[in-house]
Amino acid sequence: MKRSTGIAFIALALTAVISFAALPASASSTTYDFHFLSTGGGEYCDGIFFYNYGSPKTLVDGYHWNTFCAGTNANVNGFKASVAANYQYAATGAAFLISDPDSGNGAGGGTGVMWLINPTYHTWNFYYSGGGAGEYVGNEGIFVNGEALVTHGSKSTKSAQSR
Amino acid sequence: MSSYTLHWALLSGIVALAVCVQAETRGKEISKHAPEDAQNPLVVEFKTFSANVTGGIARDHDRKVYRSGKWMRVDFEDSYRVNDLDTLQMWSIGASRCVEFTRPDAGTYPFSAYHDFKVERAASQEQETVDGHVCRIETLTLTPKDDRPIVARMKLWEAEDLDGFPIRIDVEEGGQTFTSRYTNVSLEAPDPKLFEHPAKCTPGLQPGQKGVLKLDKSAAQ
Repeated sequence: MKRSTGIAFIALALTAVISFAALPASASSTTYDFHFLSTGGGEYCDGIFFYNYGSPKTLVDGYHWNTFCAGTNANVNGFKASVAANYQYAATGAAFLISDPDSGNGAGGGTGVMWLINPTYHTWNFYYSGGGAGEYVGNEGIFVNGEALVTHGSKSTKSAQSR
Repeated sequence: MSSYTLHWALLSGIVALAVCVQAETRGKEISKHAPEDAQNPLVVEFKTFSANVTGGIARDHDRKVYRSGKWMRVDFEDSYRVNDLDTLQMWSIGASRCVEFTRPDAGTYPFSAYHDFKVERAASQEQETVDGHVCRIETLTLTPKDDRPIVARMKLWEAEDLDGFPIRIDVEEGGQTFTSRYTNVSLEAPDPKLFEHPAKCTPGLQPGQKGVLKLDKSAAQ
């Protein structure tokens, strides 16, 4: 009886270990979903949703929602890495570097956009590509992340990219 | 001379050469604009003006901009940005905040772009009327002075009644075209106070950071 109990215990322990190892990566991921806010706290119409995941936990994947207040989303992705303070808005250290296709609101003529989102200082800013001639600061602001899905809409009629 | 001395002399020479090369490289990095940039009309002409810009790299709409020499200011609803066109530094200043960036605001484009490029100018006899202004058309071909494989083509609509100020600028680069239109143009020198900014912004947290902000939804943009 004792022997069978021991075997059962080991089997149970193994099952627990295997189950834990087989858990999806999302179990250790962090969800971000927030409206872009201006530096004064005013709400823009758009925002961003993304997972920070992986091992090391530096992968980022998600979408920029309600781009240009048009009700459409743009898939975005990137990494978490250290960025010098002089490139960030009132922040330093690790930031999410997220590339955005910048649809140009469907009008064309869009250029590359790179978001810097600092989860420690709750700030964001983004840069426009100059096509190899040097980048430009687009806009900056703050955010409040509830780490829960937020309503992807707003009464605001101005997007973060519309400045 | 012993071989020991010869080795030391050789080693010292290599070190000195490396230091010189590095110093030269650093010098190139720091020097953003070279004196021969004089050909770029957006650099050497139109040094004082104010206007409203629509379009550009940020697709601005009727955004107020001012220029006085190397300074260019871009206005926002509750803040403004002062840009140094020589160093490409930018100060973003609000009622209770000031943040310094080492890149310019997008509203300065294309006046802040292609300063370190070679410029070929080609005036044409062609004339067009834009927003009621008779314009002569000039095209610029801009190529980097280094080995970057970039060619930008700029088309300027220069208003005759505004001393040739380009009220429309098209920049074609990398298969994309960015159009900037300038209205409400004044060639008078803007008030120098418009370009005032702190010598250095106080680093650190700005109001509302760290998630302690009380959200004011009525203040939506």
